[in-house]
Amino acid sequence: MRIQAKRILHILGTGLLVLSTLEIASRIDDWLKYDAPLIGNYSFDTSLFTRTQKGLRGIPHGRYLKWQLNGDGFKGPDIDPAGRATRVVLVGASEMFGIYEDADKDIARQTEANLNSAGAPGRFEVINAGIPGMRIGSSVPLLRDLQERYHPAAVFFYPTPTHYIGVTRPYCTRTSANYSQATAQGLELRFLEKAKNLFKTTVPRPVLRLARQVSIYRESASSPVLDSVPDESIKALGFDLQCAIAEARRLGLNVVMATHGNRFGNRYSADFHDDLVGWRMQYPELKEGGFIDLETRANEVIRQVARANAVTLIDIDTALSGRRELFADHAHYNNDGARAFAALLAPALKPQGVPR
Amino acid sequence: MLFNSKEFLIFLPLVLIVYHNLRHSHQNVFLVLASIFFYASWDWRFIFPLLFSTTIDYYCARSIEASITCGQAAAERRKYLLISIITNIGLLAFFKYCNFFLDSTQHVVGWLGLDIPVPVLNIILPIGISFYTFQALSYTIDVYRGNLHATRSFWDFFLAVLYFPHLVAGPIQRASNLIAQVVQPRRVTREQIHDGLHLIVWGFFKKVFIADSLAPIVNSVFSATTPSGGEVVVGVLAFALQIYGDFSGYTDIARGVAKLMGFEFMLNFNLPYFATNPSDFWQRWHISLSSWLRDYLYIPLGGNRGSANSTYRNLMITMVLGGLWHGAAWNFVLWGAFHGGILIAHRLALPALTQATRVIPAVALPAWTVVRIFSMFCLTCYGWLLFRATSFDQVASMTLALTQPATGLPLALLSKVLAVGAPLFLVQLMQYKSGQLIFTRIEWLPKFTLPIIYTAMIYCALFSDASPQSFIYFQF
Repeated sequence: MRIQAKRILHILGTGLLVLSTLEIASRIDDWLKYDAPLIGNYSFDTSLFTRTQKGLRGIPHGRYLKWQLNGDGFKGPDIDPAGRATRVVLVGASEMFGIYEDADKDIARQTEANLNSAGAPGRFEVINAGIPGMRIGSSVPLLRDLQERYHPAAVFFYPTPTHYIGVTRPYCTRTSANYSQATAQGLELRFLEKAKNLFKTTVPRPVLRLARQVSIYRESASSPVLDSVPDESIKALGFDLQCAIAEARRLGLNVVMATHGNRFGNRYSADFHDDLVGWRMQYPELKEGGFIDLETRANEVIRQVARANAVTLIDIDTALSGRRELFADHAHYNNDGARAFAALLAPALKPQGVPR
Repeated sequence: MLFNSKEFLIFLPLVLIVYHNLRHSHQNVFLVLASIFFYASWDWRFIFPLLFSTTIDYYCARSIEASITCGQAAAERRKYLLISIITNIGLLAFFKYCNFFLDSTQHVVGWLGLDIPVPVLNIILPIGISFYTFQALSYTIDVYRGNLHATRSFWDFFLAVLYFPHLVAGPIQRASNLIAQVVQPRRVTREQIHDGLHLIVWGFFKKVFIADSLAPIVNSVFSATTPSGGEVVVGVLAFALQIYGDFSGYTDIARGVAKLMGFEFMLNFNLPYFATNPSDFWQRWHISLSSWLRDYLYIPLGGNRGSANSTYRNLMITMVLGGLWHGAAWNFVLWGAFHGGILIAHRLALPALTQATRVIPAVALPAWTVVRIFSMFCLTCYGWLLFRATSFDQVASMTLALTQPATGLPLALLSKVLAVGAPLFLVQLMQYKSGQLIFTRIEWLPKFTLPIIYTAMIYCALFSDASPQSFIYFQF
């Protein structure tokens, strides 16, 4: 009995040592590679963004892994408010922020490079105001701040349709900004996040698919699963877009917007079912086929809103959707995708702002 | 299928599960098939030269054995030995050296001002050919010499040559060592499992954390057009650690995997950077190759049995051919000649060194040992410059840069090299002081540190940012 207890204690002690070593190693590793704090929370949500009364904002000089924000809490180089360049603001969510691209290869940086390419008169400055998780209807307070500080000539809206899954009331009508991002609380084990990423990148696809399906099943067990997003959600997106356009014009900004691009095009195929399962991991309440349907319907609404408001529209959906080589996952661009996006965006932005 | 690949992570457990559930005779057949699958995963066409030479060696050895048993003349046996040697060396020469000689001929022809077109053949080098030909050769030579009986079982012989842990990059196993283990039923001991797992973890750490992390630094220095002296110092130091981490890491994984199946491979590295002289270095670095060259080349050439000059000649021939074994390029010949040169120089200086050791006071002996180790390490590093360089021009420009080693020293790169190399140095120091290569068996090491050490090594191997690189010695 005593020997058995000793053995159990030995196993528990060894397990604790192993876990502690993994956690300490993770923290030292992050500190060495990314200058991350050894103690305290360190995550994408908490190291880069903070909740304010006006909604979610980037933390000035925030850093997390490869992502780094400037002194104003935006991705990209520091901006001199008194600078004389013509400014363009890109408003959107994670696709616009740039998750997979290299620091100087996200949509904003490549668009700026295009706008300032040889032969163009004057100089443009493109501000990446993409905040992962931000709904287009919640961007109004941000837009006011940007106008006040930088006096941009134009704004570009890139709405994310999946943000309206399960949403029936437009964000624009809400009194406080409402974001889906959770703030990390309590002790977080950094090692677990690393182990999760390692699992995702090393296990064979069938195993990953199975793991994802189990997770989706558990997440959606207690709530009804939708085949497609109801019309109210699409209408909420349309309303929010109208609202954002109206506010931008009230602030004196030229407006450009785009339909939403995705890796799959507008037709469901079993070939990319695995990728859709990956997308569904973020929204377990919608079946895989529902994402394609949502994209198609949302893009139609975006086109209608642009027509109705005489806004310059870039049809990213028609131009890029289904070109798998441009996407790092379901809807986020890789360096090449951001380059293709920027090549479409820059010519549409140029007439919107006469260089100072 | 690299050891550091996802495929191998699936392949190895499957092989181990099936292997341990089979009877001995079936185990051998299964391992041959698994090894063929492992080898064919690179390119199925590589299988044919391997099976061809192995089949020839099997029949040659059987014929030599039969010839001995029947009491036939030595000439009869020699005939079969020659068939085996010509087959193995012929395949090696064709696949590995054909284009090298054609290319060199082209240069000579051009230098002489002649306009003779020399063809260049489009030959793919079968992976590990240098290793398995030497291994197979040792078998027929040992049978010829009467040191070993030819095995009757075709499968047993195939397994000895094809066994996947050592097939592509050694250690070059002696047939006399491995065939005995193949023929006898194997029992895996608890100690073998412990040591095997230890070697696998340590091997992965050396390969992924040390070698692969340093590869970008080495590549950047050796691809620079005019690196400064400081950059060359850092690049060469990084390469010394990279090649050691890479090759000894591979060997450790191979030895560890073999142990999990009850096989014991020979030791291939024994703290080579702690060598105090060139001769000591070759008893510690790539031991399976250096002992092969000693037994099958240096000693047959006469070894050190003749005059001093003939010993020097034999040393130089052995080292130059050893250099050429590594690759079909002149820099490997130069590397071999360099090591031949320092071996000869050491022999010449030996009386003076012995005398110096005698007169040094006992208290200063540790410092003297450190001086010798450091001097030998510097010489070894210069050898690595010759080994890694891609042209004589590069050798010349880097050697010239080394005359000003402090110029343009990239401190950030140097600190990274030192930081990556620090765990290796610490562990090796412990191994050197204790004489225990399985360092977690060192007595004074508290037991509770073992889970910490292993976990830290596994973490570094799993989460290192280094992009996976192929093993350097696969190209040989």
